[in-house]
Amino acid sequence: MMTRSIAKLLLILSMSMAAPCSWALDIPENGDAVNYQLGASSDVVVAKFVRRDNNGYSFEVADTLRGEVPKTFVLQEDGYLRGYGLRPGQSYLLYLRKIGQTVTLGTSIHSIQPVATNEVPAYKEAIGSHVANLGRRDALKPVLKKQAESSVQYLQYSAVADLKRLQLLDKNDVAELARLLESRRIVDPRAKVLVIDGIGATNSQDFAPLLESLATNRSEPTPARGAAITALHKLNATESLKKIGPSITNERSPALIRKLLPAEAEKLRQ
Amino acid sequence: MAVLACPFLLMGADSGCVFTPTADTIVTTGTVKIDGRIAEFDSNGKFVAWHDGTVTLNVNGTNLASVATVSQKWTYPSVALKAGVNRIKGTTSRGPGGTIKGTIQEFVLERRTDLNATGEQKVFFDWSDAGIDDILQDIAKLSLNPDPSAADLTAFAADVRDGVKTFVLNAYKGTKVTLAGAAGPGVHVIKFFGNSYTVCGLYGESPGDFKNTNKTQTSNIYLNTFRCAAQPQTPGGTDSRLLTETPARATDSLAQRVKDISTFIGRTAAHEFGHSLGLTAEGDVLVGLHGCEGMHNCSGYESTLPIDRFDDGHYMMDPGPKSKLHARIGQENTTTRKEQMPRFNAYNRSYLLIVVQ
Repeated sequence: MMTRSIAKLLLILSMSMAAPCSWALDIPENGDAVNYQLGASSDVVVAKFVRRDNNGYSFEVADTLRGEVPKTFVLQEDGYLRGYGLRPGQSYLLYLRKIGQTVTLGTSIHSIQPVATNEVPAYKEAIGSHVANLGRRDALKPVLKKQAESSVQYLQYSAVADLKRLQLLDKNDVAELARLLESRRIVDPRAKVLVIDGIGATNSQDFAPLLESLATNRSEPTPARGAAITALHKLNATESLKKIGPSITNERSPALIRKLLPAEAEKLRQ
Repeated sequence: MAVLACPFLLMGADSGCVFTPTADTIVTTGTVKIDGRIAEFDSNGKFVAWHDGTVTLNVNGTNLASVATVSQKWTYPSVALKAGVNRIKGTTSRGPGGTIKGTIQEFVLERRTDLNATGEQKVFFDWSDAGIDDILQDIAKLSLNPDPSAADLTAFAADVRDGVKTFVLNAYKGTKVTLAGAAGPGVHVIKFFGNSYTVCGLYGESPGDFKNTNKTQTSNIYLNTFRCAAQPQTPGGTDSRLLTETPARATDSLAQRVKDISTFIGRTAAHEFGHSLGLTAEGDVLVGLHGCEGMHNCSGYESTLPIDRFDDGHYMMDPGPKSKLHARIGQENTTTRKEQMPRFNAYNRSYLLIVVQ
């Protein structure tokens, strides 16, 4: 059943391979994280991009993290790769599928992550542990919590996304992640947003000072700052919102003001 | 009503409100009329009064000659814009000696010379694939308790299909998108897949077509992926993502679920259709529409300018992996019901209003 389904997904993706123009995909939320990608692929490798020519995009496998693909393989243009900006000599984590002799990406560009040489051990450890514990939620939880402290940003993001996706986070876990955020051990922008969203769901105003500091820190990415403002709303942290109000409004970012004053923003849209 | 047209609220100060044009939009003319008012706000951010006074606009770093209000309204009848991104801000002054100062918050207008109207774009909703109603009814059964009756389930599927069509047509209101009765030349087909697509990996896909050069294209929407969101995470559980990551509850009414699922599927349909009309083309100004991550709104781009392009999925063209489930079903947050229907951001909408005309 699974194989047939995958074949159908690949058939659909292969329809786009023949298309002369770029295609755009809408995959589920956090669908580029490890757990989701492992479900959408059979093989995972770290491979060096060699060149693009008439045959497609040539890769040389440096490390196989799951399954087995030929030492060298070629990915065909699928309408998305053209715009991805693969760089010759750069290594990438690739989530792959095989149909006969053909190797394809699980979900196109969402199945590619650039990898620095010193990051390979972290990828091996994270993907290996995840594969070994697939389907065992209780066993995955400590693996993912450890991975949340990874020095590799994609792995950090994936760990938090997968903890959320697999519904493995309780209040204490969120508090632990909040501490990692506060101590700047979680630095990936998307991981930050996910942790902040989790904080907003705790009903605990203990985190209000952390959220205030994130919301008003101009060096934080806008989505993380916006998430912090939203979380303060969720926690009904009225005093905190009042406190950060002048700083946010004076900064004059439309995206942040919309988060700070959602009711007013809604009226403005009408 | 007029107060609400003031783009930003400054507490305890004057604010120069810009009424037209809408901030962060594309304009195709070399000059634009910019007008607005001078508003006074109290320390709680509440509107106090309109005032007469003087306004000085600054366009791309250069101050224009000041203008005085007439009947509490200021107007610059013809502001010249350069091709590309224009940053506009200003100051206001009023009262004895002009001592009460205010600001016009910086905003962006992007002048384009490469966009043209392409005329009517017909769209056909193709629900012909087998198993579509079964999937829609499964979503109702999986997410409601008790199970709806057989008659209710039949009505649910029909109402969702109708709701999806309504959502998409509403999303494109103001453009020349019109409903077609069948596929054919000049018709964009939104094809919904039922039994012929049974994995959970893809909501939809569409050819990206900047400037809508080809009106006869197809967007694919894979309904099984929507069903997957309603399926329990654990066997026999009630922990589906639809019920745990959004305010949807098993006790909701059938009508509520029709609205949730119509919005959920309709948003993806409108999103994919948007790609085929050119949103959100990658590349900077005069090449693309500042899109990234496979032709989507770029959350990073808004850090560089006073703009508002990305909103966690509340904006129609936000990237899939960053579009949250509650936003996809038209809800403001994950826990409490509060409607916030997905919409095109002002920039994307202005593109549609130029190209699909």
